[in-house]
Amino acid sequence: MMAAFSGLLLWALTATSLIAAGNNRLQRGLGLLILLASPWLLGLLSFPSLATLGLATGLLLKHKLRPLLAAWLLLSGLVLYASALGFIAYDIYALGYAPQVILIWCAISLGLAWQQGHRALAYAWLAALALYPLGVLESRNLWDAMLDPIAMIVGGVSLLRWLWGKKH
Amino acid sequence: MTFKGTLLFGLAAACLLAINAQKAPSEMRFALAKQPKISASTPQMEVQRLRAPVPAAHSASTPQMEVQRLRAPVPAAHSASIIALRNGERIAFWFGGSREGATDVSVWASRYQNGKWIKPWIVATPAQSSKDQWRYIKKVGNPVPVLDSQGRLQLFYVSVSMGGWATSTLNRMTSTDNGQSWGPASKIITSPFFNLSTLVRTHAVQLEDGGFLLPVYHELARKFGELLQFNREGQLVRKIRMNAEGENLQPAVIAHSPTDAFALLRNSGPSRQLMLQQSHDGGAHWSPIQQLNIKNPDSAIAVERIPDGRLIMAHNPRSDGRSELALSVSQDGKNWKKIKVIENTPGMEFSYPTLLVNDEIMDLVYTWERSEIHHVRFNRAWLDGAQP
Repeated sequence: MMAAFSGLLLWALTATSLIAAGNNRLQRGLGLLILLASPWLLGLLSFPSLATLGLATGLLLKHKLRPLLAAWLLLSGLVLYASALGFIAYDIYALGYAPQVILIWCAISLGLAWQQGHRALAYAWLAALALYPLGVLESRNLWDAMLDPIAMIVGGVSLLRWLWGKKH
Repeated sequence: MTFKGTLLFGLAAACLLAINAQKAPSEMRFALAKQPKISASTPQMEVQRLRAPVPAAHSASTPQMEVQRLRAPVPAAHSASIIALRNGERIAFWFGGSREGATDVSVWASRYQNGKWIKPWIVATPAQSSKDQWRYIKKVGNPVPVLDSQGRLQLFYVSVSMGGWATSTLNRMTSTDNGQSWGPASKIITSPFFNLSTLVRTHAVQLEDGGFLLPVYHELARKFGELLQFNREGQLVRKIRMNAEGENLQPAVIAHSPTDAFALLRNSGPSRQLMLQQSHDGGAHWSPIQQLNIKNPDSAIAVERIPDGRLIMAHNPRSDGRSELALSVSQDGKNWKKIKVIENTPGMEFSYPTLLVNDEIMDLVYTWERSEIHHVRFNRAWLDGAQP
């Protein structure tokens, strides 16, 4: 029950950050939609990772997602989800049940987020590492606390926008 | 970004990384303990006897076989599973409703008491699962019970929030009173991609440490078998990918020593041949897929071990459909001999078998024309005897 509630709470916090950031109508509308549809989203998309919450909070705190960090999110997601869907034979996700190897990925991610000035994401990832051993999240796999496809998509879109801006 | 701030962040990160460093679970060994024996006498059958009547008392040397129907008051039924409780009773689960995948489909159960199946009752519904898990759930299916080492009956089933069965996620309910009452359903997260596509169909394998391995499968983009290791407390502690070949699903795993096991897999590819994998380290690693010379029309199978050491398999032995359901036996898991035909009617469908072996008595449940569940109870003498 607690685990299911934590998933709803994460969606609600993500939505609230988007609404409060309020950069434009689309963002506020999206936040409101997420808030209203959170039970549906929890069923369809499972719970958001702390990375997605960190990125949403970053909008509120005006933290810029720089290209290197965006590329890291995109690359990490592409490899993890390609593996999960069976396009890579090795199951990288399975490493998250007894985290040792993926802690190297966590250390790189934390360092990169901090170095790139995205403190919201850096603190969110710290929070993920603090919450995971407490067992309050629905998943017993550390990957689910650290990354989700939404964070990967945000990284990809951000990178594309940067590349587009550079070209024009 | 001050030096002090960076230092504090680095310290916090180092501490949390250290806290999260976990050792992998210890190596697995299969538990080969016998399942509970059935009670000494089996009362006379009273309901829906369809074939050869069974005498009141079972005898190992007398061929015995009987068929009963499990019918919920709904037109569609599919994917039955059966388990022996510690008191020797059987309990079966299946899903049924107006049609497969409809929102009124529920998980049904019935108990085999005194030689007959009692009136089925509903165990799980999309509405109750939604309420328990605080999220929208559209449909449920494929119930698989596991009796854990603590005596708890755990019921795994799949649910879908949007789309088809390929987007299923795994759910679990637990009963501490042999299925009389159930705790709330909980979600089991098994995939990083929106937790999509983990389905269950086949029986679990018990482990020596009190945990169990639950065979599951993925079928979103590619189809492949996986195993979930649950510890003694029921927590998911490891996920094992059996292969990434892409055209196999519903692994039926049977252990034959503490370290060795076979897995037979449904083939969804064009070759229409049953697939085999083997493990020699308690299920942690699996051999490459071997195609057996046995037909499989993209259809579920069930496999169990008979006390004399042979394997028994219930399967659809034709490549052109599910109109025939048969029993085959094997000494080595690779070479199979068809010895009984349970159903064979062109144009009809008999599918999704589950087997349960308790010493001399064996139980088979399967889907009959997607409308009801049939239960066949037979003994070894019947299995090895002439076709009735």
